[in-house]
Amino acid sequence: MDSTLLLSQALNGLGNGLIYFLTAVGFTLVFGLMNFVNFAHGAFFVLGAYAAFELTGRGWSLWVALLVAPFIVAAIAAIAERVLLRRMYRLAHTYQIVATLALAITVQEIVTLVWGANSFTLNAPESLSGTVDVGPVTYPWYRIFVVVLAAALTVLLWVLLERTTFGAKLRAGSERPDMIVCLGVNVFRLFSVTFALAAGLAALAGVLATPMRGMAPVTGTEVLGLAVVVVVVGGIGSFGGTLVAALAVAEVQSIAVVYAPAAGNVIVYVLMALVLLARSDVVMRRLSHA
Amino acid sequence: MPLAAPVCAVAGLAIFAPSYSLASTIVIYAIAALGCNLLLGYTGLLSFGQGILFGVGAFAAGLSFVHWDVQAPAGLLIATVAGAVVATVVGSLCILRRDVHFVMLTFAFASMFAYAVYLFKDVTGGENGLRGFPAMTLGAFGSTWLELDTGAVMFAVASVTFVAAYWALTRLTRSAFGATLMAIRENEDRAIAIGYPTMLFKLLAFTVSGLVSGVAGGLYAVFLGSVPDSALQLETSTMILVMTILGGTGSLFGSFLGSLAYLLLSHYLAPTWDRWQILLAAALLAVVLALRGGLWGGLRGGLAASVALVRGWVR
Repeated sequence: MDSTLLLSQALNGLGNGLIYFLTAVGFTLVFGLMNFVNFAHGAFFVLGAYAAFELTGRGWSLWVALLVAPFIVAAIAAIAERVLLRRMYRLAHTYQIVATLALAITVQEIVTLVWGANSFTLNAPESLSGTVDVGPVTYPWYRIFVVVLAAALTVLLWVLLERTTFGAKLRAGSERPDMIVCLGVNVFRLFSVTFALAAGLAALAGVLATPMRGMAPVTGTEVLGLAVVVVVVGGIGSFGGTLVAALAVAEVQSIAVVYAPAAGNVIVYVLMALVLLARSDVVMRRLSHA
Repeated sequence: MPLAAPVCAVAGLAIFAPSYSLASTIVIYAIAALGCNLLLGYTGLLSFGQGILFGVGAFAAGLSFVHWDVQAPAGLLIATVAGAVVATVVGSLCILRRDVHFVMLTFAFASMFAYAVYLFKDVTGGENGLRGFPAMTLGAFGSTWLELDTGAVMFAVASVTFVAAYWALTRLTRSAFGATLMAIRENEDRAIAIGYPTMLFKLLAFTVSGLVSGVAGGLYAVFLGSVPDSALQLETSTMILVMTILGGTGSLFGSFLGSLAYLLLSHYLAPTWDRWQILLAAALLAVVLALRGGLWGGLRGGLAASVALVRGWVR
């Protein structure tokens, strides 16, 4: 096999993996803290991309869209959490999944209603439109930018979770939500903020991904599937695990595309099933006291 | 009389449905929803694998039509067996985990099958689906009794299957076996503590669900005269789940109502309003958050209320 092609696919996998991570980490944070399975999580990814589409369509540059779209989606998510989703936390997981599935359908239909069913793409900013030589591979600047930005955000997120009071509350809440209430933490505000953060990160991932892969209303389903795979493979509630799993899943997909396009996705889901069957004792323990 | 409800349902469709083709679709999906209901409504297992079983049934029947040139009854039998076998294999792995992890396992298997359709293009036909069926006939062992060439005959075949499946599931859910499934739904740990081998019961529920969903998939292949790639996609799983929940989980007649409501809405709204699924999603949310009994629960509640009203009036 052509080694240049493999190298370029491996680089693609790195970028995609970091985007998967930004998407999936919100899913896992929300599940860890609120014990809430959100099958509408893919909708935030799509909404972010469409917010950017709307902004760039009104003459703003992609830079502005990249900065503003996540906040728009985070605001929408915070409102949705306050009005609707909060009612679902007490439901059994089965009902949470059905209810959020209904929400995912609703968002997909509304997006189609407003922007049409066709796919679209965003152009990379003018300053990042060229290519650069990485060893033997000629690689687009935009993809390099995505890797750098996403990696920087990953580090920032780690600092936020491990080195700030907010992060400490979040981690404590994931362990014993009833206990942090006793310690005087306003747990409802913590839920809202975490939910908005999760949505904002997914939205940012959506904007970043659009110039590379295009976007359509139905993308949400595919993205949700991948987020679920990453979260399960990485171990629910684990930051490091999610990062490693996201990179592994994206690399498997990218490399498999060279040989047989559909194989990558099949392998990824086989991996997910194997992990669930093999090491879910770790996952189960987290769940039992959540 | 376990037969009265499905027979009335089918007769009502024959009289009032705008076309036999719509009536057949409603009955076929009602069978699939019955299979889903046994797992979700009676055993409390939310499975995304319902589409797999339906799709496997459809592809199994389709492949037997294309390669072995069998007639419809043999194709349906193959679909039923294939559905049951796949359900048993996939189910035996999925039931090793509980709660979210169970759901996620079924999700993983459903996605695996969905992508496998495109991986094994020369078997499944990939995006084009499976085509080139011979003319559908009813018969066996070389003799042919009836051409399946009119909508009315197709509807009759689907209806007979539906009534049979409904009757069998009514008997099953009213038996000690059904009671045990409901015990597992209500509290699995307690069922284990009492001494029931709950794993075995869950596995059997999967197998039966596979039988029922498989035959529905087979009927779908016979009805269409082809198998679209969408039959094995997640959207089919979601559709069957939505029908089951909308109609009312834990009531077999609810499955028929769910299929009826879904497909009538789609039939009347889809041509003029592309985004009719918003209504569906809203209804689904309402059922989960407020009206747990679904359409059947609502209908029964309304009926009881009006009977009480009339009684008060007469007195």
